[in-house]
Amino acid sequence: MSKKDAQGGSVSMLVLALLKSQEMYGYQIIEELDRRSEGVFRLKEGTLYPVLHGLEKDRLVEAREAASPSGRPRRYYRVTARGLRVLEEQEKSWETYSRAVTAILQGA
Amino acid sequence: MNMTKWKWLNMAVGKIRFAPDRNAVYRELEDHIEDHKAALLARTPSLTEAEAEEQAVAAMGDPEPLAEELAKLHRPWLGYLWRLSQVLLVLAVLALAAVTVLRFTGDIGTRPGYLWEALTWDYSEYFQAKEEVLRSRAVYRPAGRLEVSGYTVSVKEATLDAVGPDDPYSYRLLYLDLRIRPSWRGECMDLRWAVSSVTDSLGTVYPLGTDGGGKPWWGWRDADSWGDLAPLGQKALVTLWYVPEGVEWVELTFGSGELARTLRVDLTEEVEP
Repeated sequence: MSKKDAQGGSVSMLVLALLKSQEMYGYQIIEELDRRSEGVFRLKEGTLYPVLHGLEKDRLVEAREAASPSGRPRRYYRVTARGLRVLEEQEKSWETYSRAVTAILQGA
Repeated sequence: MNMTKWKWLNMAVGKIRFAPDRNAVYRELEDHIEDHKAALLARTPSLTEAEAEEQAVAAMGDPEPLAEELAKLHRPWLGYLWRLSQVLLVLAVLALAAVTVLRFTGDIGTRPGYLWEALTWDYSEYFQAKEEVLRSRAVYRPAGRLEVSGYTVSVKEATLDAVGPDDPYSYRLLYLDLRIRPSWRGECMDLRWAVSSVTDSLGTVYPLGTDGGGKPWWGWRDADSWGDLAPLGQKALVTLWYVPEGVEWVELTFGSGELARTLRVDLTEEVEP
């Protein structure tokens, strides 16, 4: 797996995790990533959209158009059942990976 | 790099070849920039609109690699395939409608005008009586209708003509102007062949057939030589030949046994023609 794929994959996982609790529009996802990671995951904002559209193409998320409070239409994304299954697998892999790294770091 | 919002957006979506996708992505990215701009203005009131927009555009990153990635995701053939599937769906619905109509008409495939023809068929040429031999005419508008196999049959007008040069050579003809309306529950059948008997108040029995040398008989005509019923309803002309004097009603019975249904046509209250 290349570095770029690894990044794309992890951003996908983070986006799925965010959408697990509620549907969100693009800018909201960026804001939430920034807030919850305390500024660690500050993406170039445009890069979110290939991730979102890729997830939509793979039917891991689905989108709907709805009016925002200001009246402007927005595209809201939410995770699908298939997306939840994939997220669960990704979370398990991440936990395994994370435990392994922690074990090595603590051993050092 | 300072770039206007329009330029950035056009670069970012410029490689998406399927126009509906390109427009949708353009709108979504523009909404994002506008959302960010509004947030910046709310957080930092000292910013000008132009400054906020510039920052929001800069935060989006380099549009060129983004354009490549978006173009890969929004391949034109996928869009065209989607469009094609919509066209095929419309064609399938039309085909289904055509099949449904055919089911109710039989030969409409060879005569598309039949739908209209069945409703507007002009039977005047079948009125046998010519003015010089028409001795009298009585017109009736009988009430009543009958449900037969999902069709509603009614008689719009009954015309009783006495024709011929003079007694004893004159005879009486009764024309029944039928209106037949189908319901979608109904089966597709030919009601002409469903008529099991035609009788009158004097006990005369009219067989279906051709002229039997002055003996009573009845016939059916409509716009379709095959007798299939049209889906929107149709007209039919039932003619009773050699109707005796003093008949107060005639009855058409459809079906037989327990399923028999009879339509009585009252001939006592004459109306103005």
